[in-house]
Amino acid sequence: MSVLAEVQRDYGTLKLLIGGEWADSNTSRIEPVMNPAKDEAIARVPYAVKEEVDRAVEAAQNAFDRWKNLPVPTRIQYIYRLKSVIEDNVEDLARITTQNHGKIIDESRGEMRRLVENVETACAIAYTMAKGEHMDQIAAGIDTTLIREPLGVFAIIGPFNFPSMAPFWFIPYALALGCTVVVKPSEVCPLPLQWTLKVVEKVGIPPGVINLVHGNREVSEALISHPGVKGVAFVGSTAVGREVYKFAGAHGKRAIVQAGAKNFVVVMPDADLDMCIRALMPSFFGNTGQRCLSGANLVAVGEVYEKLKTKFVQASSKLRLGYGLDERVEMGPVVTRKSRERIFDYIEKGTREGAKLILDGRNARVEGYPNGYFIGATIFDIVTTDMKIANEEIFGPVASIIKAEKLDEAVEMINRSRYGNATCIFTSSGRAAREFRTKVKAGNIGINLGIPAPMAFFPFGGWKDSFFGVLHGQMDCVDFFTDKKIIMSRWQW
Amino acid sequence: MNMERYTFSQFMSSLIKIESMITDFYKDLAEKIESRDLHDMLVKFTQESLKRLESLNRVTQLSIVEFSLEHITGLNLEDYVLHVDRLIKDERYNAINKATMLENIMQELYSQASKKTTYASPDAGELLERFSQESSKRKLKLLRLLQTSKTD
Repeated sequence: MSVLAEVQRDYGTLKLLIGGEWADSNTSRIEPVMNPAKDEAIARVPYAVKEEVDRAVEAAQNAFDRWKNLPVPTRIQYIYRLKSVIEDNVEDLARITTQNHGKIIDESRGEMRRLVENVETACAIAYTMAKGEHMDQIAAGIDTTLIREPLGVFAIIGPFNFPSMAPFWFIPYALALGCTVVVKPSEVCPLPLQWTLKVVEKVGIPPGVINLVHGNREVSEALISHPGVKGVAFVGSTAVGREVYKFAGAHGKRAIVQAGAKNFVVVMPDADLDMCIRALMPSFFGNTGQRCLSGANLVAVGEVYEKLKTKFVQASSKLRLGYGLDERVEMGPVVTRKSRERIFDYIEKGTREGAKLILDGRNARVEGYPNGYFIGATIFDIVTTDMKIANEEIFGPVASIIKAEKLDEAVEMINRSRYGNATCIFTSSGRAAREFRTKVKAGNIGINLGIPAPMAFFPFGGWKDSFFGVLHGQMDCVDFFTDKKIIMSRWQW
Repeated sequence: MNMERYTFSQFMSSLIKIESMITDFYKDLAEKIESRDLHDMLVKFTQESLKRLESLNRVTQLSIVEFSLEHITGLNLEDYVLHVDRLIKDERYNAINKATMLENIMQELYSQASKKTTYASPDAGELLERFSQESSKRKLKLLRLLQTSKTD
C-alpha cells in the first residue's frame, strides 16, 4: 500500500491576495509553517501589516459595487465554475491539507467534499432563499415587497482544524449573495486555503471579490475594526471566539462566532455495541480529536459500562498512527508541538484529579517519523463531571469515560456543561432517542452516529458557549450577508 | 497488522490494485490471442477496465464524507489480490476459462465491496455494485463465446 506523494516539499513564503494580485508582504514577521508528522517547515507565513489589511479591505470595497450589480445568474455561474475547478484539483488540495494539518487523507478528502457541498448549496440559496417576498394589497391599493441587498465586505477568520472547509461555510454564500470577502486562515495551517484560493483563481472571479491576508490576532483585529468591514464570521475556540464577538460588537459589526465544544456521547444498555464502537472511533479520534464535533466524554448508562469500556479500549488501542498520506493510517499527529504539550498537560491533570488512565497515548512512536507530534488514543476511566478533563476542551485524542445510572442523569450532565455544540446517543430504543433529542441542550444531535455534522443545506448549530451570535454558518448565512428592505408602494389613488 | 480492517482509501486502493491486475491481464491477452471474437472482446474489456480505474480513483477522491469514516471490516482484500494473481499466472486454464473465472471473482468481490462501502460513500457503493453487474454480464458473454467455440 502506498504512501501518497506530497504535492510539493516546500511551498515557499506565502503571499497575500489583494485586489486579484498575489503579493509579498512587507512584514518583518515571518513564521514557519510545519508538517506536523515530520516536524519540518514546509512553507513560511508572513503576518500582514496593518496597511496590507487596509489595502485588502479597500480592494474588497472597490470590487463590491460591480460584483453586487452583476445579474444573479451571471454571478452564480462563477460559483458553479468554482465547484468544478475545486473538484478538478481535489486530490492535490487534500494532500496539502494532510501535509500541513496532519489529518489522514480520507479526512482531508472528506473535508474537500464538504467544502464543495457548501459551494453547491450557495448556488441553490442565491436562487431561492435570497429572492425576496411580495404581497399585494396589504392596504387599499398598497403593495409590499421585501428585497434582500448584499451588505458589503465581510471578514472571514478560519480555524486550523478544517483550514479550507470552515472558511467555505461562508465564502461561497457571501459571494453568491453579492458580498465580497477578506479571508484570514489560521496562521498554523494557512497552506490549504492559500492553495484552494490559487485554484479558485482559474474561475476568473473579478479582482478584489476574494482577498486573503495572513497573520494572527493583530491581523484579525485590524480586519474586524476596519470601518469598511460589515461583519465577521469566525470559527475557533470559545476563549478567542468570545473576544471576537465582544470586539465585533464594540465596533458595531455583525458576527457569527462558532466556538469550542466538549461533547458527550451517551451509550445506552440496549445499544448495538459493535456498530457503536465502529462509530466511536472516528467520533473520538477522527481528526485526532481536533474538531468541535468530536466525542470527548463517553457516558456509559447502567450495565453497559464494563462491556463498553473493554471494547472501546480494545478498538482504540488498535488505531494505526502515522503520516496521513499513508492510506493505512487511521490517526495522524496533532497540529503543533505546542498542542501536544497542552494535551499532555491535560493527561497529567486528569491523573492528578483522580481519573484512572486506562490507555495512555503519550508514548506513541511512529516508525519513520520520530519527530512527529503524535499522541496515541488516550482513555480515562472513572471520570466525574467536576474534573477539568471532563469540562474543558482538550482538542486532542483523549476520551473520558463517565458512568451514569439512568438516561436522565446523562442528560443532566450534558445540560450542566457550559458547551452545547453536539451530543450523541447510541440506543435501539426510539423512546430513549426521542427523550434525548428533546431534553438535551445542544445544537447538533446524533442518534446512533458519532459525528452529527450537518450538511451544508442545514445550518451548523451550536448552543451555549459553543456559539455566539444569532445566525449560524452554512445556509443560515443568507440573513447574515444581506439586509432586508421593505418597499411599500401605492400606484392607484 | 490486521489486514481485515481498512480505511476507506486503503480499501479503494486495494480494489484499484486488483482492477489494474485484471486490466493488464486483458491487455496482454488481447495482444496474443488469435481468435478475432475473443480479441475484440478483450480489447473492449481492457477499455472498460481503464474507465473503471478512472471511476474508482475519482470516487475515492471525491465521494467520501468525513463524518462517516468508520473502518471497513470483514472483507480481506489481500486474499483477493493473491487469488487473482495466482489465477492470472495459472497455466492450467485457457484464456476464456481464466477470464470467466476472473469475472466470477470480480462479480463477487465488487458486490461485497459495494455493501462494505455504502455507509462511508454511497457513491462508491453504487459504483461497485454497477461493476459487479458488469462483471456478471462479462461472464455471460465469455460463457457464450466458450459455448460457440466448443460448437465450432
